[in-house]
Amino acid sequence: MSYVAIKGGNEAIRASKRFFHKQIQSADNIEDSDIIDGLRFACDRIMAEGALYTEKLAAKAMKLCGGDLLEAAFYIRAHRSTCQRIGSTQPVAGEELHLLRRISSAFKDIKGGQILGPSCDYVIRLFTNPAGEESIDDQFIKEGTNDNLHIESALQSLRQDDRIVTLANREAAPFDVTRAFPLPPYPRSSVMQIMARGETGSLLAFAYTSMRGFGDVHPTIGDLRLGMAEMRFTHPFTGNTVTIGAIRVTACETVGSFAPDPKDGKLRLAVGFGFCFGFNETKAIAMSILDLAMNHRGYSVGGQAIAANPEMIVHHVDAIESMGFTNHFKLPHYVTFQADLHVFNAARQNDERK
Amino acid sequence: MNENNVTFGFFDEDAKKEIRRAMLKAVALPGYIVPFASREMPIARGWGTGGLQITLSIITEEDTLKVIDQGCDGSVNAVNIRDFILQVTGADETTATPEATIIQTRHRVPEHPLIENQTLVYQVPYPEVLTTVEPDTARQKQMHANVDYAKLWVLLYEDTSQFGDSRISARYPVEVNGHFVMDPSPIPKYDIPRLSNNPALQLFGAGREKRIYAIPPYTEVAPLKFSDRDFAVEDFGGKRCQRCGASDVYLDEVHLDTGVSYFCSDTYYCDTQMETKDAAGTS
Repeated sequence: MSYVAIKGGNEAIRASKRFFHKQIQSADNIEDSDIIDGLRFACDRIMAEGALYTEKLAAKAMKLCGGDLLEAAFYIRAHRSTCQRIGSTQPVAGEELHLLRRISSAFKDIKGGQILGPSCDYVIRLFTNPAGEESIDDQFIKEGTNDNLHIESALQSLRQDDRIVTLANREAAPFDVTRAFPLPPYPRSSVMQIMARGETGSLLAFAYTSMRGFGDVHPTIGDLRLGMAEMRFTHPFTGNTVTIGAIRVTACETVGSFAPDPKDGKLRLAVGFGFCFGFNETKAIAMSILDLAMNHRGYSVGGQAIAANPEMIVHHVDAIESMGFTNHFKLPHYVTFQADLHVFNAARQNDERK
Repeated sequence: MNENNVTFGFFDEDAKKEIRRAMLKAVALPGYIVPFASREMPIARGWGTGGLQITLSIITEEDTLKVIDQGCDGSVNAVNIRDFILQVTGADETTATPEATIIQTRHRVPEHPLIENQTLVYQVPYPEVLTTVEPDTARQKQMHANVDYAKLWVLLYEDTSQFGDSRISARYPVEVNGHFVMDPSPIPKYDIPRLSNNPALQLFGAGREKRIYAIPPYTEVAPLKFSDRDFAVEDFGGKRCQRCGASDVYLDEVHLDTGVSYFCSDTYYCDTQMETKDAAGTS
């Protein structure tokens, strides 16, 4: 009679881990720089969802988990927990970005122009060689960003005309979701942080519900911009402001419907905002739609607005949490399942006695 | 710092301080769920990150640690968590319940009675007992403040009228210290009476849901039940552990080629029963 309790756990786990590493060991031959440059959008997702801007560790994490982006972001988050908080950088304004790309679909032409920059929006997704691109003069293609290219938001003129709702700011300082978890009613800054760290696919799915049936956000992209944001920090000893580097970011302002502004009853347009680490237009747009849906609920005429409910968004968009919990169902559950069976059997006996 | 270049207890000192503060509040308000920031751990959410954060915040070099999953020290997740904690703390490990100062557990309370100065740390998937009847966080908070558990009582009534008893098997709601109703984590009903007046400190950590709560030593804990109904725990009908012969414990039902067998879910308890039996057999 064999004893079935799994006491060989240690060895089996080690073998499983080794098997996993062996399967993907050829990833060790990939240079970090190749991943950082050639697979930059993957790195951007890892850094945004991992909530730490570090291209080097993003590349390393991707190699450690064979390209699984959720797992890679998980490595970054775990590492983040070991880092001591030194301080906060100064706030960054969208107009200060060194732009690489800036478009608006709300206006045909805008101050500063439509700057397409590098984009795969215009690519025909075929595996064959795209024709015609060789004839393009590289004079339009410059590495990096134009340091002098600072452009105000394409919605600035509407703002100046007092035609856009300005939400009341009730927060003295931004909430920090990594130091305390918010309770309802959720401060807007906490919801924004959770979304900026959120999983692209989750944000996209929730935003999509608002676009196509469970809500009524039919947004127009007012201003979508990709660029480098300079990080300025107050030096702890000298007290001087020092620039400690620049990071890739995406920002998006989306215009929704109009309604009487609660402030004074005047009709104004609602605007949502999305922002994330790295270049990830889908995420920034989805986030701006969710911000719009949650903060301008009065404007909604739809039925059940899932995306307008902060309870839905705050608890369900984090990749590290949803992935971890989904996978935990692989852990043994035999004690609880045993208890389930006892309850089931008792209920069945009770049923049969009736 | 240790050989892995990680601070003692893995995360930074501020994080540990914050968790200890949350625990102090939890102990002061038995059964009340205290929010905390919940750092990301190198093990996945839902795999014990809440329990792990508590353990790492209270453990010292002098502690002796036991980690179990389903009552078993050798279960894959228990092994993983124990290895990690030992790596970042250098604490001692044990499988013996009486020797442990901290026991981190998933889904079970050890069979061996706990004593003062022991801490039982539970891994919790759903800290909020009201989730099944009220998913909205703001309303849940209000209901707790008003000690308004009517919706739970209705659920209990509906189940009893239809099925003869509550359909809740694990995570049976308990009232702590005559006030807050809390989720005891997915332990079977068999373990519920053992929460009450326990000499050990019981701490509950939910990493993904970012909540900490506690049952201080010697606190009354009672399952939610109607006064004219008995609280029925799992009944194994006199079945015995096929290995050690114990019959008064929570058993695992195992389906083998030879048919259905039963074994102690608590592997340490099973081992001690075997030793007693062997000693009796040889003397």
